[in-house]
Amino acid sequence: MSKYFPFSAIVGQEQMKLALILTAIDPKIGGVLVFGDRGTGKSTIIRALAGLLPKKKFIQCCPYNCQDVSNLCFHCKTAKLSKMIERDTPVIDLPLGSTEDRVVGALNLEIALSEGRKVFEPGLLAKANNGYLYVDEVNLLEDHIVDLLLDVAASGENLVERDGMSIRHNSKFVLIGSGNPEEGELRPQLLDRFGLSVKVGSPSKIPERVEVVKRRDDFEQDPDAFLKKWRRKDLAIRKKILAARNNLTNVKLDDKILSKCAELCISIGSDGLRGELTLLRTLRAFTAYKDKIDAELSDIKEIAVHTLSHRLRRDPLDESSSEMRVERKINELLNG
Amino acid sequence: MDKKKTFFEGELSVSTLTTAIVSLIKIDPSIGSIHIKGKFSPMREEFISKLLKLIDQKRTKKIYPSQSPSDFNSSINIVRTLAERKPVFEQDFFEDKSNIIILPMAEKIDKNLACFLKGKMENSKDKLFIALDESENDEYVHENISQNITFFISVDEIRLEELKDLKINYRKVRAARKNLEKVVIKKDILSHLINCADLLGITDSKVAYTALKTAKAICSLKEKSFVSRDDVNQAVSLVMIQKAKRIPEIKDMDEQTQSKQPEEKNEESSPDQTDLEKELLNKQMLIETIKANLPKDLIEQIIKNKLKTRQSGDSVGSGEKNKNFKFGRPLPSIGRKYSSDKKIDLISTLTKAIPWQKIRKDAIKTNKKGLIFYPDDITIKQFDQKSERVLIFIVDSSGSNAIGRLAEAKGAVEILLSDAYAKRDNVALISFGGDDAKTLLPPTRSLVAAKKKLGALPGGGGTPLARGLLEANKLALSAKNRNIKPILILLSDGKSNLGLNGEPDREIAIRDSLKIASIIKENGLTSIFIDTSKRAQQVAKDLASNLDGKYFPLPKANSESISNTIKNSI
Repeated sequence: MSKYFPFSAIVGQEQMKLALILTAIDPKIGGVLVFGDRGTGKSTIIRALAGLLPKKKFIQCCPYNCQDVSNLCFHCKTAKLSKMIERDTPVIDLPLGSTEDRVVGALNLEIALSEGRKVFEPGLLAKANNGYLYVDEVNLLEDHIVDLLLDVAASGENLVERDGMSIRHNSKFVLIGSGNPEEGELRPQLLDRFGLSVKVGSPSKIPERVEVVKRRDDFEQDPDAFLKKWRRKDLAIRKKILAARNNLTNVKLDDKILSKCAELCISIGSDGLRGELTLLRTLRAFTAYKDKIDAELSDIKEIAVHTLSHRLRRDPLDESSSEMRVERKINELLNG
Repeated sequence: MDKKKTFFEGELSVSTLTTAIVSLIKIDPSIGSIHIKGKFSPMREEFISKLLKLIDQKRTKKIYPSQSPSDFNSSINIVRTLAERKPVFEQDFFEDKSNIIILPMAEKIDKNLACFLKGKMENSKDKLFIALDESENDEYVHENISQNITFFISVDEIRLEELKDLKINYRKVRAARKNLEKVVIKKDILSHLINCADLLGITDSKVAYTALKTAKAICSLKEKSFVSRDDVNQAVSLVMIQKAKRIPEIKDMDEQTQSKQPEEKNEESSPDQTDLEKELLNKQMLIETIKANLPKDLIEQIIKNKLKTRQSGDSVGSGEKNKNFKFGRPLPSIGRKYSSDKKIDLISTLTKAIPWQKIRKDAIKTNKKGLIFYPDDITIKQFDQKSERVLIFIVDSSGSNAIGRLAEAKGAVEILLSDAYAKRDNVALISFGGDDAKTLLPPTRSLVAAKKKLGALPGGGGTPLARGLLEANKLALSAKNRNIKPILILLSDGKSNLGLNGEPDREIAIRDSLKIASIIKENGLTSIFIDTSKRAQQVAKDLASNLDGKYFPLPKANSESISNTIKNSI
């Protein structure tokens, strides 16, 4: 297992970092969609997040990452597992070209052949339970796999009906997709399922870029020393995330904020209520992260772009980017 | 023992370049892979076999462009599983002992495989990828591969005697590998490296990091422990030039700096200005070193190649060139009732039946050898034969009506693109006006890319219809070669006043455009002619009959009506 690059040592990319932190505070916000060019550090940040997050308690040896003793999966029940161990939050890669078998799981061939028993071999969806599922180039993923992911991500449960087996197990994960929009676009249905969207670019200033390469080099040269150097900062962020999680239920959203959010979503014309719900959830997590109780109007401005820009109905004749359109609307609303 | 000069001492040729690259890979295997550009020839084969010998790794594997990512999943080995009566899995393609993976005909690799390989190239650092690029004209290696490849060698003009010089000093390389850990780079040198990247328009930090590793390896090879500016320059010339997004004007640079110098001297007191000057000087120095570090024709070649790539690939997102539809794209096999017109997927049928053998044999209480199949096991191969199309708009941007017409065409392109997702159509836009025809939008499927390209459009001037048609013909034929069905859409009043030779002679112009129209017809291209003139005239009718396509007089064409007409007629 290779060591992860420390989260706090990543230069720039504040928006993506914030989006990931917010989903770590409240996984219900939903997935994160990251659009950007090659070599902007998308995968590095996601891996770094795994290193940053506090270890979680899991049932030992459970292939479905069970956490809750009162709600065990069939595997834990039959095997009578109950011992808890601490592990890193799982971050699972879903490689392009994965087959359905590998994603949802399939018949365990070895046992079927040698013992003649039907045993389910869990797939990536089981591994990603209570963690993150990362899909690089999500816009190139085959349609039937995408549909499957969406369905599971929405229901939090993987239902397998194949090879004469019927199995159901929890699969609650935060879906993180990355891609380059010029290589092909995502279907609107899929876009809408992501809670947040961020655009990443390379740092534009030379000193920043120097720092990126320098830190990468330092890390590869001596990972341990580098990790040690950044450990304190990483821990500080982790502490903030944990505090925010506890604080989440205390956050108050007053009526004025609620109505502004609704107004914003209507004026932008985002379909359905998902936009509003995500906006409110994100606002709550953001307020908690700032260690405050009352959400403020100005906060909407900071997060609305990420929660709404991918939900706009596409207007082929509007030249401006969706981010710009959202920003314009926000400014109109908040100032007017 | 080596009398000849090396690449690092300024001796530039394909053989010294290759020697240098192999040495560097030997010193730090994580640096990466090689891109070999050159058409198939005995010379190239000789070169590759020499190269492999030089790298001294015997286990090579190949990945062909026709393969799909799912081919590389570890799957059950049918023959051995049956023989040994226990599941035997194929070894994962990327997890065996082979060290070199060759990608023949890399320019034919499609988007999906390219993205898959990109991931593999990033994660399997112990493997050396060698991409063999036989591209010509409008072909190019997918960016996901070319951007992840470290070194570039062009072998088109290699000579036999050069091959003899391919030798590396293993003793020196071994020493350098040991020394590599001690190599240090100072911060100002690192900034220089990033400056170089910036100058070439490279924003990818992975490329910058590879260049850094290369510079370190070069430094180590020179038996030093501090990376110098020269090392960086050489690394840049090896790693970055072929990935450059923009090429600094090599010739004009001297004049530019000279003309700017007096201005700057006047204001030398302000710190910003001196910084600027320094930067400018640095840039100039860099260009000089780049120039000095590569054979001149090589730079030119790279620039030429690069520009080609950029025209067709960079901004299009290469959406148009992705699948080989000759046989249809294989889809996952499905269980269906068999009939003679379908192909049985033997492997997956077996895979499906094998696990149940013990259960089935127990059920009918038999011990006979052989497999028991149930009808449900039979899996049928599926192919996706949906062919792609490209709609090529040819828009008259001349005369008074130009701006309006172009704007409507633009709108139609975007409307078509925004619902093209389901249909998987590509759209391209050619405009003719002034004295020339231009491809404003190369075939693309991406609305994002289209919007970027369709920002500002030229207008006014003469009407070189013939050139516009010629350009469209070219584009259509190249699409056809890639098994994408082209459909030409001409938006014009059919009048023309500029011939192929650029002479403003109406008669010649009309004759030329009619001629090209019949060529388009002879090439078997489908066309739609939307006549935008107020009243249909004889020239337009002639043109339509020569094109032998569909003809719609649409005097008040707007983007809605254009896109509807097109949607209904194709």
